[in-house]
Amino acid sequence: MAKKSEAEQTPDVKAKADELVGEAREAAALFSQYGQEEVDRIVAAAAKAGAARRIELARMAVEETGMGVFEDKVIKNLFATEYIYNDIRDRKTVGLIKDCLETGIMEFAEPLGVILGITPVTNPTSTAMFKCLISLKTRNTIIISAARNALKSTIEAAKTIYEAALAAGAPDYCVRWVETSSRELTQTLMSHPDVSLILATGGMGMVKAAYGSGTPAIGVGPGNVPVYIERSADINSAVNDILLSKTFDNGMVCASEQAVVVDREIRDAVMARFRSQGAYFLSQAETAKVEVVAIDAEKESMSPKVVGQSVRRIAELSGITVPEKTRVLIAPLKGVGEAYPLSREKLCPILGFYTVRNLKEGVNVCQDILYFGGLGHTASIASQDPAAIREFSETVNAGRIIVNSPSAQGAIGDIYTRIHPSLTLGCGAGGQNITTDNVSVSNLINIKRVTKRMIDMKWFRVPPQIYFEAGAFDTFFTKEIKQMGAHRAFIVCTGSAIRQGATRKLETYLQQAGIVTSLYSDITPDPTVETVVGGAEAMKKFGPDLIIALGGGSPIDAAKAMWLFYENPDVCFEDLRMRFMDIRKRIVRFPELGRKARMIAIPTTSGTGSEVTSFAVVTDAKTGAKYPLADYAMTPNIAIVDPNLTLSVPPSVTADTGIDVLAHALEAYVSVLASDYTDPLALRAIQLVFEYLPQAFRNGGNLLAREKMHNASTIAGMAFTNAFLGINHCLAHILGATFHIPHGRANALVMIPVIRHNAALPKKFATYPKYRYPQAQGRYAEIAAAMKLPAATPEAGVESLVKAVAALKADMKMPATIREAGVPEAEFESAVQHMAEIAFDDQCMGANPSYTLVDDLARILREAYSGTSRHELPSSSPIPT
Amino acid sequence: MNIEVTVATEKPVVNVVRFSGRLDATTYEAAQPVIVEALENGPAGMILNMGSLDFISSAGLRIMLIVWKQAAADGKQIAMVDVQPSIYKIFKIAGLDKVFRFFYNEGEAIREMWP
Repeated sequence: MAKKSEAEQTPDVKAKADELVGEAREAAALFSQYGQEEVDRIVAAAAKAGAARRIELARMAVEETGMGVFEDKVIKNLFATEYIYNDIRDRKTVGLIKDCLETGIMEFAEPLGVILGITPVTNPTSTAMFKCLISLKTRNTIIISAARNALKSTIEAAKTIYEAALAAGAPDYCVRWVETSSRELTQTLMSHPDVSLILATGGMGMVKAAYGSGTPAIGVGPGNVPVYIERSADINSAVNDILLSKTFDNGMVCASEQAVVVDREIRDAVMARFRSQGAYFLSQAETAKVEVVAIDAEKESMSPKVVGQSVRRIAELSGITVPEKTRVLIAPLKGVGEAYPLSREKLCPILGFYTVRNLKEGVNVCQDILYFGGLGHTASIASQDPAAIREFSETVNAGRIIVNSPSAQGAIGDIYTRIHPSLTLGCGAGGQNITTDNVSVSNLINIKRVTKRMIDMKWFRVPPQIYFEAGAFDTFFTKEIKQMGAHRAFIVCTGSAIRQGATRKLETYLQQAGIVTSLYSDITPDPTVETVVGGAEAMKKFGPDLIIALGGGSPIDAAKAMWLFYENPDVCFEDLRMRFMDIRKRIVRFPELGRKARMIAIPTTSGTGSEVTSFAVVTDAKTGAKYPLADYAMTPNIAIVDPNLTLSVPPSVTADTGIDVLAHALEAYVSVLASDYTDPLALRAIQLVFEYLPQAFRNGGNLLAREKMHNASTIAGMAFTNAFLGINHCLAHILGATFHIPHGRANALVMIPVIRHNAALPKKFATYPKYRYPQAQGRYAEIAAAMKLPAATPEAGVESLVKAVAALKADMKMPATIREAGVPEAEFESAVQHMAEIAFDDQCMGANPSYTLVDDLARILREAYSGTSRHELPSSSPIPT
Repeated sequence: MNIEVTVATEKPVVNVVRFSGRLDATTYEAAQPVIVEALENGPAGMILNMGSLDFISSAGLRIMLIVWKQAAADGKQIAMVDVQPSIYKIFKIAGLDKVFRFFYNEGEAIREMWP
């Protein structure tokens, strides 16, 4: 934390500062224990007391400073008490101030501590009371540092607030003040280590010093307020507003108008109205005389001589004569800048006057005025044209844009407008302030946000219709199909399906149902983007309202992706394949499907489960990488799970696709997203695979075995489309692509090292709020127990499962290792690091029960290569060598 | 974007360049030579009429600065007229409003800059 700079300090100045701050700090400490009710009682009492003394305090201020108008200062004091109090009275500023059901976040208010409140000479008593009230309301204590020329009246105002607060139960010293002002003391207070915030209302020099002190500061900027009387304005109202604002306290409010900018069209009417209401237009000669008095040419700013002075006084000083009842002097000017001294801020009843020819010029001139010493403060417009108001507001740089109201009363808030009442008006970056707020209680609280662990809902999404059992295909396409209201069916399949005759049967059924068909079989295993785009083109030409995918994972995935491109030709592959951490927060939203066509998926292998999943794996032909496109929009409408279609699958394919089902189910079961909905499906699928896959492998004509495997494939799909997968698939994807190993077989090759790795205590925990702690080991053991394998301890369960998997692979004559699968060692070694990196980036990583490091993925691959495996046991058992 | 270059009728030694549309990455390459040439061929300088200019990119702004430098070197003057508030704001924020001179219309520019 940066230390505040400590200037050279005279010992007694330091002592004085320490005393003041020490007292205030003690009070702040005590104040921290107060509740909202007590605080509100104190603030009410203080506001009442301040309002009650408005007249005396106003008189004191005018007498002491020699500026302003007594009657208007009375209003200011009332504003600072009554209006401020009214705005803050019901605000929650203590303890729990907000409790949001939706986000689960509670907000508590923490006070800042000691505030140094610097008050100006222009609004001394009102600013002091305002700052005291907002501090008390937020349980802060305040030290008031008054402008030298308003010391007595300011202190009196602070005292008034303090005594009332004390009487109402506030801690001693909750309001302090500097008795004898000195620059050194002010600097010392500013950079005092125990001051939490400076509220700096005053001149630029002081505000800059506050910012440079090292203590956080909220400052203000100077104003140079233009008011644009646009041609549609209500002239009488506009003129009245301007005069009302400009004469208030002899023009001492920084938010009051400094120049009038008027459309030429209405200029004469405006000038006439001004004159009739007591404004006097200066001649060129008179302007020159007033300039000299009002603006200090050397300092390049308004002269203190005129600040808050009456027209009569100003005329006297300038040596000009004006009618007796003149309220405001108006100087027509030709430009903005140093060459036009009266285009600066003049906190007195002098206005600049500009004529413009159109809205563009009007806005630009107002910008020029703002940029000349008033950026970020306030601008005003009188207009009945919403488009003009809009253009003005969009462009000019002002924190407050006052429309059809007096600028001073409008900007301080709550009298003519609904912005928060305040006597400290931030100017944002334009004024080198931190905010454009009308500073109030919200700027004096530190909010503490208390979070809840948000575990919102999970889901279970599968096709609305799944038809199964041997013969389902024929039944559906002779009966149900007729009720679908479809007319044109686009069939996606592979060449082999055609050769086997399944497509011919399908086409016949469809034609009998009066549906026109088109066949697309240009599908290779591992469909590429080009394949998909080509198919979508053909689809577009044919214009189906029904898409039927028949085959293994490739044609079904291809059909899903084609469906996507068919319904949304503008979709871009690069966007769709983007990784996501949370499917619901992903950057690119998938388009809706089903507006043009519905989809029926008919798997002929057991299988990828693609007929029920939201995924389509597409290969980027350029890089060879596989991308699982994922979105529930791609779930087919109907799945037909008919084992008759799998009878002719050869043994090696039966084995490979069958092991893929096992991988799906295992991964879904240990996934961080596993649920009561997916667990029973996954478990059942695992049981079915162990029992029936060997049978289906040995005898492809065993209908029961085929049926059980086909069901297992679909229900495993239903499980993993909701619980997702893990590193088994991450590795299988790249391993398969690199060495041209069929997908299921690739899964089989890494299965055992993956189980052992996942069962061990994770090196990096999975980041997922729904997954409370690592439990994969127990889950694998549950699977073993469900299969009635030895599982007396979790470790034993895992080992039983591993043994069972090994036995299953052997039963299916699958290679036990990658080496046995025929991959040469040198080639493997040169690819392993790259494969590990690709596997790490695979979308399937997200649901794995541990967040697996690249090095560990490489290790798993190597174990899968050679068959030796080492693992860390979660218990205190020694690591086997 | 369209650019039209003419001579100021009241002051033939000044060229007038009128823009409409956007001066951005796609249009600046074609625009730059036209603007530079307009300055070259204007013995006393040129007026840039920004009345219909909707958008200016960094490349566009760079062109402005290039011609300003060139004009200064050649002892010529450049005036900008009829600038939209959203574009004028750019010059204010970038501090370039002191570098260029802005006027309501061509007539006024000529009266003030080339009396």
